[in-house]
Amino acid sequence: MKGVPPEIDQLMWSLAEESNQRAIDEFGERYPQHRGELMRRMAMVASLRGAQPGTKTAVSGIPHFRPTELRPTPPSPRLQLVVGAMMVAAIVMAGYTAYQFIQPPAGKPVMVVKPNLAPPTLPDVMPQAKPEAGPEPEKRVDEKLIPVRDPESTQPVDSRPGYLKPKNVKLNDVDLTVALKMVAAEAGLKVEIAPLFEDRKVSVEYHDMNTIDILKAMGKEFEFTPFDQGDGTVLIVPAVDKGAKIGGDVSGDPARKISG
Amino acid sequence: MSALIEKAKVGAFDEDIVLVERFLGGDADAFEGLYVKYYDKVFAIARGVVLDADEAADAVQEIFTLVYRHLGRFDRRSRFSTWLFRVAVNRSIQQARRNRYRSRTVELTEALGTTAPEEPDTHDPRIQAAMSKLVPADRALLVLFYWEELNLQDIADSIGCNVNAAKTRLYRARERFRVLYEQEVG
Repeated sequence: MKGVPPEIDQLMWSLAEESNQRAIDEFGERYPQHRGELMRRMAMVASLRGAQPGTKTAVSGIPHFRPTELRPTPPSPRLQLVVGAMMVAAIVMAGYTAYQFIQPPAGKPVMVVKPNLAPPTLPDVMPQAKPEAGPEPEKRVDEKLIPVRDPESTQPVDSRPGYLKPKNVKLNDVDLTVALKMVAAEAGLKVEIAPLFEDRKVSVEYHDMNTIDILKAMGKEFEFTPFDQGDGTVLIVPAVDKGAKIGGDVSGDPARKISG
Repeated sequence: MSALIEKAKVGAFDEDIVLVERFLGGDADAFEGLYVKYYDKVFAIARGVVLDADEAADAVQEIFTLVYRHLGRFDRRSRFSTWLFRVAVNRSIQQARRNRYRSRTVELTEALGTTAPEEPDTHDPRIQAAMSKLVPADRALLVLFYWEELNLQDIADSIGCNVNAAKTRLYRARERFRVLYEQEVG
């Protein structure tokens, strides 16, 4: 009971059940603040004992014993809880096993690369109108069926180099060096990692960005500088030197200047 | 007789063991002796737990049927009465749980107007109301302590735990009953 010290609480129950009047009086003198509670408990215990039903034999006699068919009993709540917990655990294990089976083996990070290219279209061929019946007129070169491009409907073919084509990249929990190599390889580039480069697990996601911009963004985020060597190789140097133009763009192609 | 005394591992000689041994030896009348001797006590336990006289009567027949069929499993590490009460408590609690979702109100006394009441209705209705709100296991503990006046050791043996656990469970059951009873008192 709240507010009553445990030893007083236990003492009151003992007194209520023993009904020792002398002990009750002494308790009342010593703990007058609990006397009312003791009286209530004594009344409750007396009522509880008085509620005991009378014996059946005193009224209707003992029925003759005949072994009966036992009715099925519901499982105990504890057993139901244990069985339920085991079923939940089995379902969780089955789901985890299935998930592991579906997932690719460790060490092969999933790279989602979606080139954002307009689908190439074939030039429209516009047939010449058929000549009316009659002597066949002299054919001229300009009247032959020749393919004609409709400038409004035909999409230009994307002739940009791979490292300039926009793409979507999403890598989850992969080594940074692996991520760099994968991004570069998709554009036909190779990556060289400089000494003292600190590798780590990274997750990256870029949309509609070309390889150059992606490497720049990764460099800013993970503190390194990519240098185009001009021979299809990109050198990855740790640390970012803000402001300074570092590295040689030996190719002279401004589109391939990565650093700075 | 000395073998029976040796088998009884409690301090006092358990006279019920004589009837048990005779029944296991093939004397069917020996079981009738146990049945008559303990019918009232088992009925009181069942009635206190299931709260209905008719249900209690059915439960008593099932309890003694269990004892009749499995008396060979009585290992004599406790008194026969303790083992019998343990069967009675467990079976009564199971039956009370089965009846838990019944919507009808059950009373400790016979319903007036249907059959003659067994005794005058002098019981405190607040006791009945509070007992009906307890879980069957709590009712069993209060029945064993306040009606059957078993000591803590016998209660512990009847519910299958040690004395300290029985004391704790009884204390909690009594406390829950007290709260419900005082709510009825208002």
